[in-house]
Amino acid sequence: MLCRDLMAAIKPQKTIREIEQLQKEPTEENWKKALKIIQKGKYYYIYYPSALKGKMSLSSAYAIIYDKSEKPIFKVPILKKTKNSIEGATSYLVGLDINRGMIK
Amino acid sequence: MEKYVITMLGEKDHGKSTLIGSMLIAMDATTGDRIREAKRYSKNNRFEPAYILDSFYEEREKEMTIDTTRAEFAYNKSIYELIDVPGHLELIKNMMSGASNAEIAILMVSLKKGEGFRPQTKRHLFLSSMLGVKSLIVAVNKIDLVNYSEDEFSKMKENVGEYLKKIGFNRPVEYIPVSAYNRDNLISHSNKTKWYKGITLLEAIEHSARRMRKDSSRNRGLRAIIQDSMIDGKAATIFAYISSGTIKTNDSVHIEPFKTQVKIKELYVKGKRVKIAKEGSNISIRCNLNSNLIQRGGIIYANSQKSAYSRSFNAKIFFIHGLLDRRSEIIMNLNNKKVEAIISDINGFTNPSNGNFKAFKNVKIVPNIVVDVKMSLKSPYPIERFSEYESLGRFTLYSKDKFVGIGIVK
Amino acid sequence: MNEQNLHELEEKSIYIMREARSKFDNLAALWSMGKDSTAMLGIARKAFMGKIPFPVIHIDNGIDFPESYKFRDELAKKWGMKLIVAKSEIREEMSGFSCCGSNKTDALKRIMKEHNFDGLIVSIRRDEHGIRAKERYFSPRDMHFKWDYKNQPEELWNNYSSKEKGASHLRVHPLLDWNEIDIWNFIKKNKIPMNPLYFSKHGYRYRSLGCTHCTVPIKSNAKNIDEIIKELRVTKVEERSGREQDKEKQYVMEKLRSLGYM
Repeated sequence: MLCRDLMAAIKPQKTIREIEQLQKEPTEENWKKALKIIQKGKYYYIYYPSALKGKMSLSSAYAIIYDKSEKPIFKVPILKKTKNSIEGATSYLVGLDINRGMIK
Repeated sequence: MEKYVITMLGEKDHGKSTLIGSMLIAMDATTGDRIREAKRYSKNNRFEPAYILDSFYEEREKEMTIDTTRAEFAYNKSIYELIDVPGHLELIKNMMSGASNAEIAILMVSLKKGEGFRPQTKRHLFLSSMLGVKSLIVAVNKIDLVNYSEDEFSKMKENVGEYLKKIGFNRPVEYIPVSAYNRDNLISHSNKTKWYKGITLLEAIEHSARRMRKDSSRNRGLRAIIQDSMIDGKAATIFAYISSGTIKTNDSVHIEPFKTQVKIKELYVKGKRVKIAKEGSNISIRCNLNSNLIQRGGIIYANSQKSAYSRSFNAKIFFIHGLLDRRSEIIMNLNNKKVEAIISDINGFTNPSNGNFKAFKNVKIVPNIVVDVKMSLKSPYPIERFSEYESLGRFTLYSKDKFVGIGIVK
Repeated sequence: MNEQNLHELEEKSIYIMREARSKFDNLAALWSMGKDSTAMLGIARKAFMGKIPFPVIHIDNGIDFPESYKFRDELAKKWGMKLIVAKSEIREEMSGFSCCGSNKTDALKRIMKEHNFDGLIVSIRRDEHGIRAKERYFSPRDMHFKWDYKNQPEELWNNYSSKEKGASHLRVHPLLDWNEIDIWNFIKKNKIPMNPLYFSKHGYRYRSLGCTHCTVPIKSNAKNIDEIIKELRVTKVEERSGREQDKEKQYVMEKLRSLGYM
């Protein structure tokens, strides 16, 4: 089972400009800008908060990025907004490994 | 582990699905989940083992098999796959699809009053021998409903035996009195049939499998079927399947009906280069031949063997659809190769629901009878007798793009 | 779980794939980067002298595991695949099977039409789900990609269906007879590269891979293929118990299939 309680308790350490921008406007450009910083992380874990209600809401879903000691460092969306639609964006996390320590 | 495919034959309600369900439970080849679900689904609180099987929603609602259902269990280092087929005539196409890959068949015939050895069952039997079944187990079912009577069992055994003799089925047959529901004589000998001194169903299945193993080590001539070719610069790579025999590097072979001589320069099985490849292998052959000359459907023969290719041959065909007569054009599908043919002569027909043969020449070919015919091919093609090279002596039939029947070469 | 004779399974699958290549004008294969479709591509290389002679399609809903994307790009390059990534539309709000189902079907329909594919290799196995048990090796799909499961074509001996009137394409199922454990035995024997998500870390691994939304991990300490095989030899739990969509009622599963998804 996913540990939803722990998620509430995590407070990502830093607030970085590029990440902030990305959270506000997850456009392709902002993803590209944030990529270098994201890649500095080692692990990720994706949360789908609406899953508990049997729904899937992309906009409320997010990924927490962790460093190599599994400490959470920041939070990113998992979608990308294009002119007319939204797309999934987990491919931007390529290079990171899933943090199974977050599974409970 | 070796796997053996067993087809169930017999009519609706004679207990095919129940038998499979009971075997799965007895052999611990199902999950607790499935049993629970089956219990939940069973109506009138009478647990029906058949509900353990994978069925379509419609099949459960109507309580009949529409398409093939499979189940398997393991025993003594072998895997046995049981295929349940529909009994209904309209679904005979599905029955044939399911039964065609089985060498062992279990015929369920019910002793219950009003059921018994009827035309539909006879038709299944006849068809299964055409489809290549090599070993038959006759499960005389519902013995519990006739008070475990030895007399009833013997009568049925005689009845079925007579029919098998009539249709010329000369393969090994085993008769076993069973109750699929109560599991009498399935795995262990029932103390209610103390008069029965034969083997259990499980033992019969094992014996049949052993017989298959022995059978398959026959020494037969090379027959390899060409599926495709790939061009690699100047050299052609031929993809073929060895239906019988063996092939070696440096062998000289000929490909029919093209009358082409070829020397095997390089031989590959599963991507690895080999010196020799045996029956059942899919091979790649490299040779110095213009690939235009190598066509799909060609048959590779050893140089020492003449090919048995012909323009006309005798066959037994079984139609499920349509109307044909002499001079009708038809397409044969032989190992995925389409061959154009004409029915040039009709020699007679057999009604598979009673085994009676009639030597009528001028008949229309209608569904559900087996017809003895002479077929002529538009162009010569290698044809073998079903009794000698099974996979080269059987074909499916198409008329106007529709599947209409099957045939075997006499 | 019953372990079969790998040699026979491989030969049959090779025969089916060669048949498909010969029969169809435009053959393609679906790849999900999972163990089954990757094994299928491994079998294709054995069938066709080390090559994969057809395009490989990944239907991408954008929320796949990053490990899967990485694995995809690396293996596609290593094995010289002609990779087509078809993006499926994803919406803000979705629920149940439609999240992975209908959108993927639309993307598939689009890509099939665009390239005029008439044959599609799909790596389903009979043991995965009861409904799949009734599938044919070559199975037609109509114009709406529906599976007419009540009226399947004949499939006798090794004679397989060809395109028929009204069919938009045929599905080819070379792995129908394989069990989960056979796939792993094949992967081990042939050293097929595998998605790292299958192997345990922190006591969890993924037994069956869908996208990040639908896939739930299982408790396991199997860190490599040998341990996975050992685990499978003991388990009686069916593989897809970690996939949300399979918890739907059986009838719905059939509807899904008949809709062309899967």
